[in-house]
Amino acid sequence: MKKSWMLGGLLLTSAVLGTAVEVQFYDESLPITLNPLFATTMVDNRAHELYFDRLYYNNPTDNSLTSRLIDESQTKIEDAGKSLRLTIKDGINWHNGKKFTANDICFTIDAMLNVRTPSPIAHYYREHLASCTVEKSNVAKVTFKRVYHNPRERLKFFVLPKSEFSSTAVQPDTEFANQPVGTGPMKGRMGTLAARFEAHTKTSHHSPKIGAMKMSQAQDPAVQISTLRNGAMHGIVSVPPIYRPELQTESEVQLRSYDLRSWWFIALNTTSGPLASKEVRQALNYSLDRSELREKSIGFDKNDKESPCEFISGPFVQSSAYYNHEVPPVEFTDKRKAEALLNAAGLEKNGLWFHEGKPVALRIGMDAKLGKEATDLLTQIANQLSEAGFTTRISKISSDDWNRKAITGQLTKEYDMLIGKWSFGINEDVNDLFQTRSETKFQGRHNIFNYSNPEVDSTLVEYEKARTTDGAKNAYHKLHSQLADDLPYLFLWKLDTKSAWRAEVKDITISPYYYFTDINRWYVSKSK
Amino acid sequence: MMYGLVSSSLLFGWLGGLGCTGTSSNSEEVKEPTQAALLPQEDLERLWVFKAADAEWRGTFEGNPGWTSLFNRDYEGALSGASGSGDVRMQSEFASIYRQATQMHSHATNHIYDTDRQEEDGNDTLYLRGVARTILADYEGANSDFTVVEDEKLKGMSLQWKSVLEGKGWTTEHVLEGNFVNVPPLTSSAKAKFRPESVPHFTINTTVEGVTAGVTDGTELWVRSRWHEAMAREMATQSGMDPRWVDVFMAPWVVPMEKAYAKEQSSSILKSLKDQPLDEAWLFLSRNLVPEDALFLYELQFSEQPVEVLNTWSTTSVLAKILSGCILEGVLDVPKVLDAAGKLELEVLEGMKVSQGKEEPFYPLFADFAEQSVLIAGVMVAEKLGQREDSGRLRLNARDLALQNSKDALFLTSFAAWDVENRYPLRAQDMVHKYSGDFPAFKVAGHPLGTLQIRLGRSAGVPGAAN
Repeated sequence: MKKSWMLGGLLLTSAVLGTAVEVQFYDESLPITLNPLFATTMVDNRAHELYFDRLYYNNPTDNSLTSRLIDESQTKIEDAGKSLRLTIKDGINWHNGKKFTANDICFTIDAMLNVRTPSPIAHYYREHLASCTVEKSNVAKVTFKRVYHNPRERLKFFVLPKSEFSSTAVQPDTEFANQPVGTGPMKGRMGTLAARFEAHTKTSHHSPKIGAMKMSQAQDPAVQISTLRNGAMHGIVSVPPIYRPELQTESEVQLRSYDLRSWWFIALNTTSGPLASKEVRQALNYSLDRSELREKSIGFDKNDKESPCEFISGPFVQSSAYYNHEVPPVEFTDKRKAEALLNAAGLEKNGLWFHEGKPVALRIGMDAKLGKEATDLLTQIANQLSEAGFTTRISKISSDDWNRKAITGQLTKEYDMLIGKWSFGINEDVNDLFQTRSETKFQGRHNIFNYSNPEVDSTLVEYEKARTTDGAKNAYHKLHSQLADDLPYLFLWKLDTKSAWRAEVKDITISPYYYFTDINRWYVSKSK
Repeated sequence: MMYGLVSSSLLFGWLGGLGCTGTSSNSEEVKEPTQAALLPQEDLERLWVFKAADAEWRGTFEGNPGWTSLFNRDYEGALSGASGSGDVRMQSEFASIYRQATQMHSHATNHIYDTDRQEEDGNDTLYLRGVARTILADYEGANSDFTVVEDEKLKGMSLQWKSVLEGKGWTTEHVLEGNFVNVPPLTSSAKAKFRPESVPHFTINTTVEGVTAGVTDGTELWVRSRWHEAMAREMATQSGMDPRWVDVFMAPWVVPMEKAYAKEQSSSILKSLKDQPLDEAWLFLSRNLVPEDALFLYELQFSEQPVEVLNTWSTTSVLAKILSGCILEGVLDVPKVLDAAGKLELEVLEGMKVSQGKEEPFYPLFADFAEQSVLIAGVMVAEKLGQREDSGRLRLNARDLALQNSKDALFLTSFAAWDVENRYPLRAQDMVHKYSGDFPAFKVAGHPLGTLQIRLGRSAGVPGAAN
């Protein structure tokens, strides 16, 4: 029966085990780095929220902008609005016991301003921040490049400890990335099989009720669900949709929404053989039966009004203001159109499709962690393309390779198609995904196959330089339409994320995007 | 039988779950040390969710296309299929939902042209902000906006709001007309519908030469809501129902500009209705478990002493009784509310089984309404006590714990409006998108949400995509 744990739960509402229990959970993969300046994955972002504090953050419930580090009653706006004078709260310590000071805030800002810190995240902050001065050990003055009406909103970065770095030119591959020192609610290190966390209590600003946590890499979905059910694990960050209906009726597990905008895609190598032709890419678009893919890999139920999965025709979720509803998603295979396009592109069919006398062979890779959310997606896509007359070779790409190679444009020689997903919070800027790559300008950093289209580039600049909100929206509507035509990606669907936590883990609030912002409140009760 | 139309996936999903968890674990849990029941048996038997186990009681609603659609959360079908007292209820639901959509639109508009104002925003925006501020009961702010509007057409459009400003609030004497909606006549037919309107409603000038911005006017949502309210009152009269029950139903969802007037009316309404029987159409599939819950929540909206109201009603209102037990030193304790809500669900479920001597697969679907009712009433109490963050925690729990059939569009719209008030438009956009088929005019509210999302996103100063 549903939620029958409540009966026992009431008996021991206040019985908190605290340090006696290690809360274990599955995340999609292990973090790539524990240095928040180099976060690229949502797993990184979630882990960093445990190890570090952001200078300012939004309350996950009422969205109020707040800080665990700064005494807001003493914050002063100076220099006609260009500077903020920040006073640190008393008694804040780093995980290593050292006192948190203004030096740490200024070190973090200096590191981000240092162009020799190869951090894309820092690049964003360079647009807003001008300098930081230590006025007293507990007072830092942050100066912005211009007056902002919401200056604190520009200070949502994770703070790093000055004592752990020898230079403000912070590098990604240091020991700090495995064994960080933060001020966050949890301290710990990353192992090869798990990331471990231990409550940071020797400080005034955190008092987590959970003593220890362990983040493990997601296993086969059936194994995840079974270990959650039998109590060997406490939570799963991302529950495959196919398992959600049955978990919703479980007495010992609760499903929780994780507010995140995620959409799935197949990136196409626009420089590889026949895929260089737009017609061929369009033909591939019509060769996929997304409806069948969704049914088989996501477990889509046509009667479910609350379906977590919705087709998209461009790089935004349908509820976004950027989504261009005039571009319809392609839901079913259209063989006739596909064949006409392939013929127009000069391909010939003789059982299989041939390009310049050779059968078209598609090398398809997929971010391995996606297979845990959408069972057999890779195989299903390959099957559909085979049925359409292409030979295929499939492989799963480890999270590490995906992050280090795929999204940095280093798999262009190995693959023709890469299946992945992107997640967004309030900022749905997609310029990095489609802009012509330029390391010096920090452009196109996530351009998977180094796609380059001058018209698209010009639209992206239009977005960037838009002086009005409608201007930005219209630019992205145009982009949507251009991409749906040129198809550097085959857009699949948006997929809602749901977590599952055992009922004995109580007072859970899952923060949009960052997830663990409110971890101090979570506790484990003896009862279910 | 209406359950034949129940979302089959859910129904069968539940049955599947039962099979997987097995009955033995349930039995073990039943054997746990018992504790005093949350509700005595006589109270339990008063709840509509408990009565829903009884085929005879249920028979009043079964087979009716309106109720069947509402159970399946097909609001469009629920409205068009409703009849008699069910029609009054559905018109009231729609009126309240559009009230909350109006509020959502107002908060978004106010943020766009106030906290998140940008260089592009010219004088024309003051009309929109003026409307928003009027609805949000910031009469001085609205007046100073309207006073300086330059565009003649917008000035004209603002005139009808002036009387609301002068009277410091809305009363039934005011008649506000939309410029873009086609208001159907108030006929006895519940099938009268609004014609779809195109969005954006009109364009305004920006400070960038030659560049305009598309906008929507919240007045249209208000007009729509008022039409459904008028329909509800008309249908109530035709059904022999006291139309003041519409006031009771809508009180938690009215917008700030009408709160003062609603409060003024409340004591006489409460006095008159206290001893009147409540048509069960107000209870079935609703957030009120017994008739007194409706009156308790009604009084709560207008009281400055919420704890006192809780105590006063705790002898008759089940929700007041449960929530008064969750108050610790004048503060609503969220974990206690969560536990109480879950426990009530369980007690209802067990009670249904015992009373009928059998177990039906739809019992849990009804029992879930009990949990939702406690959580949603808890949200209202937390807000009245000034516990805004706690109300948010309860809102999140209500959203997450609801089953498909107990997902309440009115509550979710109010949650969305609350989120937007907090300058967080993403969840609201998702909700508006999800329900756009049921409530076509949600696109009017969705428009400023989109503008807010874009402004917040572009000024967030944080990277976009992560994988």
